[in-house]
Amino acid sequence: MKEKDEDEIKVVVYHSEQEMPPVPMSVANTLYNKTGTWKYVQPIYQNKTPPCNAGCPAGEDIEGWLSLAGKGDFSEALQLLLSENPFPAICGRICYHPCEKACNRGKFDQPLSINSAERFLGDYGIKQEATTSISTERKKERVAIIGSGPAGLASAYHLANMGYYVALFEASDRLGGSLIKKYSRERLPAEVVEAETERIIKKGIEVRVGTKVGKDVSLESLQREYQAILLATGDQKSKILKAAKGKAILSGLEFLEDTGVKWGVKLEGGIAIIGERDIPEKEIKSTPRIMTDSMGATHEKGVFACGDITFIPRAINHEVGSGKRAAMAIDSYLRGEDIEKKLELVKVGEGELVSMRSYITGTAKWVNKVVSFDELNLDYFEEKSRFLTPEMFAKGAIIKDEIAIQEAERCFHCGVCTQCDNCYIYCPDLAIRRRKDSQGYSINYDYCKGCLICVHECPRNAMSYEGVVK
Amino acid sequence: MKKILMGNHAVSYGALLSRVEVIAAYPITPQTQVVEKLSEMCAQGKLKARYINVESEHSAMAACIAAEQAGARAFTATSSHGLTLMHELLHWAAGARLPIVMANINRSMAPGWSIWTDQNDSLSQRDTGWLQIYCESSQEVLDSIIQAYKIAEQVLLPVMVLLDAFFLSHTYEPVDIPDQGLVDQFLPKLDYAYKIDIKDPCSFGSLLPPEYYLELRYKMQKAMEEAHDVIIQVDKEYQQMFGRSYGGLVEEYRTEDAELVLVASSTAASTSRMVVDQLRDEGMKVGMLKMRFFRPFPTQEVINALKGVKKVAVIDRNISYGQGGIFCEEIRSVLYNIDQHERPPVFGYIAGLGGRDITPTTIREILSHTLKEDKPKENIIWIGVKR
Ligand code: SF4
Ligand code: SF4
Ligand code: SF4
Repeated sequence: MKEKDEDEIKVVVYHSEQEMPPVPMSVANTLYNKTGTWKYVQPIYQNKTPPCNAGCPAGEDIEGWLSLAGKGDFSEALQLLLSENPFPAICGRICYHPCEKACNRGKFDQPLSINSAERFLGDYGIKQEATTSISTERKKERVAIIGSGPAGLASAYHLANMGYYVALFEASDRLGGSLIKKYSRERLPAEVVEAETERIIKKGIEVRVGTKVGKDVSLESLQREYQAILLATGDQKSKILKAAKGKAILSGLEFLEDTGVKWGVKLEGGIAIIGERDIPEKEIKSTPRIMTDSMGATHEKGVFACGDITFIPRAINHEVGSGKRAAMAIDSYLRGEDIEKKLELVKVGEGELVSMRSYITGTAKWVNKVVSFDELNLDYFEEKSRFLTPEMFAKGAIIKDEIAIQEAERCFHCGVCTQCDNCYIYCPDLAIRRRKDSQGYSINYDYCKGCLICVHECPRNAMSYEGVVK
Repeated sequence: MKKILMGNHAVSYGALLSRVEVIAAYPITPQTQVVEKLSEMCAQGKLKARYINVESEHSAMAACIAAEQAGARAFTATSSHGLTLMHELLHWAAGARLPIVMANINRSMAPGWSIWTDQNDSLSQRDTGWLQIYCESSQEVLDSIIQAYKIAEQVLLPVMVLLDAFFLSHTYEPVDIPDQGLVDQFLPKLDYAYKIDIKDPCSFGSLLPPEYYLELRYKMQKAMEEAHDVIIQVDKEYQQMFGRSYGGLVEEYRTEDAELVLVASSTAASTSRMVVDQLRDEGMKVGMLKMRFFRPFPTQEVINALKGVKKVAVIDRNISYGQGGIFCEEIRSVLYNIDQHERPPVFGYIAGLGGRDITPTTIREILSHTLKEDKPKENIIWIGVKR
């Protein structure tokens, strides 16, 4: 095919009928006619946040890994999943999966079987002994993490990935914290916990089991040796709550006593107070918590907290998210940067969820706007019930790859362009072009007349619009 | 080779011999056998054409337009309501200058429902830019289809070949089927100059602003005018190769010294021919002008045939409500500008609507009425109305 210079305006003017072809046909091009001047609304090509992602407290890019899994690329799907959450096999078993409740497909037929797909990928990763890469840049700062529950481990994992030297202190003789205490073996087999913990530790993390900070090693000495300390000691149920009139003050933390916290128990901005967050009154009263900012920094310089000891709902996905936030906060602190400035970038949706990939790469895949069900064009989707269900994971059952692929293919990819070409094909003014680097499309606003056909024909709201342009 | 064919099958053979490449049609009485035969020919591999089943005549013409635009020789056949459903696309085909050929079996328009013949369906397509050939016999039908492609492809306008419902469409007559090799020589493969070319993409039929629209319409009319000579030339060539001629746009029959000329078309012309012979035997100076082409209108031929004769009688199997017979009106109109002494009175007769038979008696009635009167008393002289 002859390559035509797309941007060259060609105009033909006839002075007599004899020069004209008899047929009404184009002899030049229509580029002289800047139809873009007609518009009063214009389309915006922009990936938006899928509701599943915004519904996952661990901050996973669910839509992203479903997309890869749907293409049968399980190993890339797993890598993407692991970039946000090191525990797919564990979460795939015990997470209460609010993502599925958020899934737009639930309003159409059945939500994506996200939790089961996650378990499938997690188990795939264990079987393949998958590893994840760590930064080649070795950082000189050292971080001590106290407590090896899911939050501490998640934080250790991300910090190690970033190239920090991480030491993990565990009072008991086994890693895992709540993962081994809280769940039955049937629901969460020890091998699964071991396998996913092992993958983290192998990143060169120094493990100090049977080491109780405060007794076996003092906090002051840790503070001298490590540039940052992360408290991830989990739910300290045994501790006493001393309630003053009208205010409850937490000071009975064994840990705090043991370490003789010189940084003190303070009421305002200090270590342990009851907050007004949406944590059930009962729970708060029964368990002491440490007050931090949204990213896990305590008021004490260089000391951070994450997991169940902070004000988060007690569930694996929240713990993973909390560990990740603390890892970001520690990294920013050690670099002397202000994490608050990066918040808009790393946020997933409008809540506190964060994306490690956005943090590391410095670019976000989506804007924070979450795509609602009403914004999809359902004409492009067919009803299809789940291919993969939790019941299929009976003891020893083997899930065929095709089942996982078919399930992943059910995903609408809410808000995320799949390069389906609809907008490109339907634009009557050829204003949408495929980008030469294959990274989606660009809109030539000189010719986009604002008809919004592309917006209507986008099945997933990756094309949206803004009103009244002048 | 001679075969006994019904008029409809003569159409099919005409299309077969023209090696049409795309057929898109929707069946309708009384056209059905045309497309049945063609689909059979395609199925048997006799005709290497893409046969497209469509859901309506509108789509049939749309498919033909697309096929022709892609450079394929396209064909369709229809009748009556099928034709009028195509109306929009008839304009399109002509405006896009696509040399499509179609057969239309002349059938009356409803209501009341009628499957029988008259010409109102096709004559109401008068201004769409299609050439129209009204045929008298199955042989003429077959020959006209082949000629139609040759004419259409030279002037880049579509052509409609017309046959009376039942009187011609369902009547069996011996038909000479020309040799395919000769037809191929006469009508080479279509080479449409403005076809879609993916190597040089462009758009067809898009917006044409006022500064150019008029010019393209001017060119369309010029093509119609040019068609006049092309039709005569093609008919001559046809005679040289196949031994048959239809006189080009019109045929004059025994008009040499005629004092009264009867103007007729389609099968009424065939009956008129017989009556003219009878009356000549009886010593009356009558002749007939057969209107073969209605578009382009054979202006010069009509003037040549009618100027100076004493009286003219026109038989119209059609009517333009509020005016009169359509052939008659156009004939009067082309005679208007000739010298007054040479201008004959034109009697306009309307007969045979909705398939009412036009018999030799009908024609005799028309002729004796014309002989009796000096001038027509009314614009329309109705024949056979039960009053
Ligand atoms: S359909 Fe896919 S992208 Fe949309 S919410 Fe569900 S899992 Fe997420
Ligand atoms: S379809 Fe094309 S012209 Fe219409 S709004 Fe979209 S980009 Fe603009
Ligand atoms: S229509 Fe398809 S290609 Fe266009 S933005 Fe939407 S998803 Fe992407």
